[in-house]
Amino acid sequence: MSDDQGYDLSQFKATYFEECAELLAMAEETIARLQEGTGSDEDLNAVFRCVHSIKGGAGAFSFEELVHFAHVFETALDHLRSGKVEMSSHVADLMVRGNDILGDFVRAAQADTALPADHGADILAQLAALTGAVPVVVAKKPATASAPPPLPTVEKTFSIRFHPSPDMLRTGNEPLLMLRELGSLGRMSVIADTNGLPALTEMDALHSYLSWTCTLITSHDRTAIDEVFEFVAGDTAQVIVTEEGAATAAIIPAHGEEGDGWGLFAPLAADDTAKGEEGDGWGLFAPLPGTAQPAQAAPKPAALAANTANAPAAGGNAVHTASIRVDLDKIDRLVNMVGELVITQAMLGQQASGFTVESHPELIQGLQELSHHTRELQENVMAIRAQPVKALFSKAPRLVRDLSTKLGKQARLVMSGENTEVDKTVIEQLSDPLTHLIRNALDHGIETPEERMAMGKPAEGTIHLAAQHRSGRIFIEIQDDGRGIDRERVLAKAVEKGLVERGQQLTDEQIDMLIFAPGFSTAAEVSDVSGRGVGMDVVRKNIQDVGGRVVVQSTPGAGSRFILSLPLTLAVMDGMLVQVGGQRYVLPLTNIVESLRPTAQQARSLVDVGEVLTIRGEYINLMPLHVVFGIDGAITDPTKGLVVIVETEGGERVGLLVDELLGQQQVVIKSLDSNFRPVRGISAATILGDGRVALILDVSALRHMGALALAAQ
Amino acid sequence: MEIVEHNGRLLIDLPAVLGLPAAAELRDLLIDAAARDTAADIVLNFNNVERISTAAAQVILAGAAALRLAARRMDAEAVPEPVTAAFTTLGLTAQLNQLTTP
Repeated sequence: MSDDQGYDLSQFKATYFEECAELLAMAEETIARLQEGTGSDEDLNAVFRCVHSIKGGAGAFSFEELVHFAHVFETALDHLRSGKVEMSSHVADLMVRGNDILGDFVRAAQADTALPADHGADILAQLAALTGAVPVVVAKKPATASAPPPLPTVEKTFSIRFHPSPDMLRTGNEPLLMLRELGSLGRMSVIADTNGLPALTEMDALHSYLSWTCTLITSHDRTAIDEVFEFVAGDTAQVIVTEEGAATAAIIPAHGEEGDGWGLFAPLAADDTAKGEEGDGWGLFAPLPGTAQPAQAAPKPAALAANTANAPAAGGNAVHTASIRVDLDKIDRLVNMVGELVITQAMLGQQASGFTVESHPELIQGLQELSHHTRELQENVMAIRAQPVKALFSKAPRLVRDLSTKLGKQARLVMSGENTEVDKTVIEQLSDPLTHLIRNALDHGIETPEERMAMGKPAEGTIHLAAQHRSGRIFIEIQDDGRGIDRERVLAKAVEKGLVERGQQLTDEQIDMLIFAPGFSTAAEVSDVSGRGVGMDVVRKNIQDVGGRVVVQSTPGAGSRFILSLPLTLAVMDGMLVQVGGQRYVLPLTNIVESLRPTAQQARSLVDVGEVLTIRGEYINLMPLHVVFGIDGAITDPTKGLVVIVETEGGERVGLLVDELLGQQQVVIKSLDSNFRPVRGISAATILGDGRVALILDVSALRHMGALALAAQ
Repeated sequence: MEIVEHNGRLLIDLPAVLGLPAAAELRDLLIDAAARDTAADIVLNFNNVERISTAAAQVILAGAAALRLAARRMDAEAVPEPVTAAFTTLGLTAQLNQLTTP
């Protein structure tokens, strides 16, 4: 499955449908609360976000009927949450049924079948009536309600390369029957390759020597072909199916015995596979199907020759598997166990802290080795969950192309750092934010060609998508050279929506951050591209859910840059344990710049600013942690305690006053959100070697909290 | 199955089902026939054949090739429709034609 530029979309669609299932379930559960009258405004927002997310993905894949229904549904939801329509039992029932119909459209899109033309029409009409709109019927493929999914009437031409393994006949599988069944699917021509046939005297009558290349013209789809070879593909035969006109061939999935090489081959053109002789490892080694590069055209012989050259010279099909599929649950259990091991290692370190190398040399050495191996183990286990962001970025070209066409704009996409790896969970959470940010850049950022030229810019706008590792975190940037944030308009809209009080003075940075407020939008007209404000809300929420942050930098007339800062892993981090009164906190090591005990000259108190620290001519805000968290018995004099200078994602520095530094250690991150509740200024918790719980500080949030706490004091 | 000399040719009457066991047996017979110190052609009589396997088709192809190397010929006689259809399905029509064309 690929689009017209050859990008393989099947894996993205699979991910999208998985997400849809979750979103539909979440919406159903939330609507049920609203129906019972126990729901809140946030529940309504949540349902809205679900529907909006489903619509967003559907737009990317051109599921027009789904987009249309979702758009009407979310418009009704938007009227509900803005108070234009009052919630009632009738409306709640309508939401339940709307969610059901939405599910039908999702499932129909997933199965690639058409629903009856009037499916959900009554619900659509009622939802539209809520907003005073007249529902528009989307042109769709004809279908009848009672008919089974219609068979495709367009004939396709497939090339099928069928290469039985030598032992296939012994296993009771008969190629003749398979070819006969294949032929029954349409009109077929078969070319047999008899080159593998040995001399009669060297022949094993039960050995398979032939292979075939079939050209099948059929109205059936790939599935029917796959079913023919269902019991042999991968295990006892190599089957490569190529649809004429499709960019890539597909290998019918292998079940794969280790060492037999089955299922490890890259897509090949049928006539090229014939070059692979038995005994040369089939000559087809290349990256696994999942890592196959999008092709612009059918695979080229030159590439195949290179692949063949990489095959083992001897040993025939004695190929070692390059990878295996492992259930994600098993990996997560492994990650958890490593986390426990890290805690145990910390506990042992704590127990042995009273011993010296002189008194217990072997014990200390053993503990050091344990620490070393534990870290190595942890890094390797985390690497299992890491995936390149390429999978995520690959959606972008199509999105940019389709949207720019739809919006009548010209834009090119420049990507870098696609191979940067990040935890799988982080990648999954990034899907929605990235989609929204790209849509936003095109819809609100990039100007029309006419506007751009009038401003002296090239008619074609540029969106730069970049990923990189930096200071133990992943940074993803979405930058456009569009019009930038119109702060005057943003502020006016915020005042109008009651997000900001009239006359309130905000910095440019604070105004820019208003675009992340729920329901905020400056779009004059609501479209199905963006403009409801929900997108930026989803962006921030998803990023925060994985311990990340989003920062926006914008220059009017020159463009905007959204910086997503994400943790490399969600399980373990390096931290500095600090003492404040009787409490211990963990500071992420990546945030720490330096620590010092200031002199009386360095620590000053300034009017309207509060405590500051002067270091090398620079003023840094001083934030006593005991004030922020209201801790008694802590050191209050900076010259008697220690100041840890930390840096936020935005590059701002602040000095945290603590009693003392207890040491650096790896800590296992335990979510406060799931185990307790979100706490401002705290990103997570951890268990120390002595069994005590320590809170991990959220430096960026602390900076804002500190200002408030000091002001209150 | 057995090899019978008939009108200066070596004749093999094939069984109704040319499955895996028959393919192995046919291979041995053909090796025997090809090794004989004679210029006689081999005739495969398909008259009774109702079903043929891929394995048997392979053996027949290899037998024909072996005889060609020895400047001898293998002929297929009384080939019924199921066998023709099987060879067609296997993409071996041309090879069968070589055996049936005088």
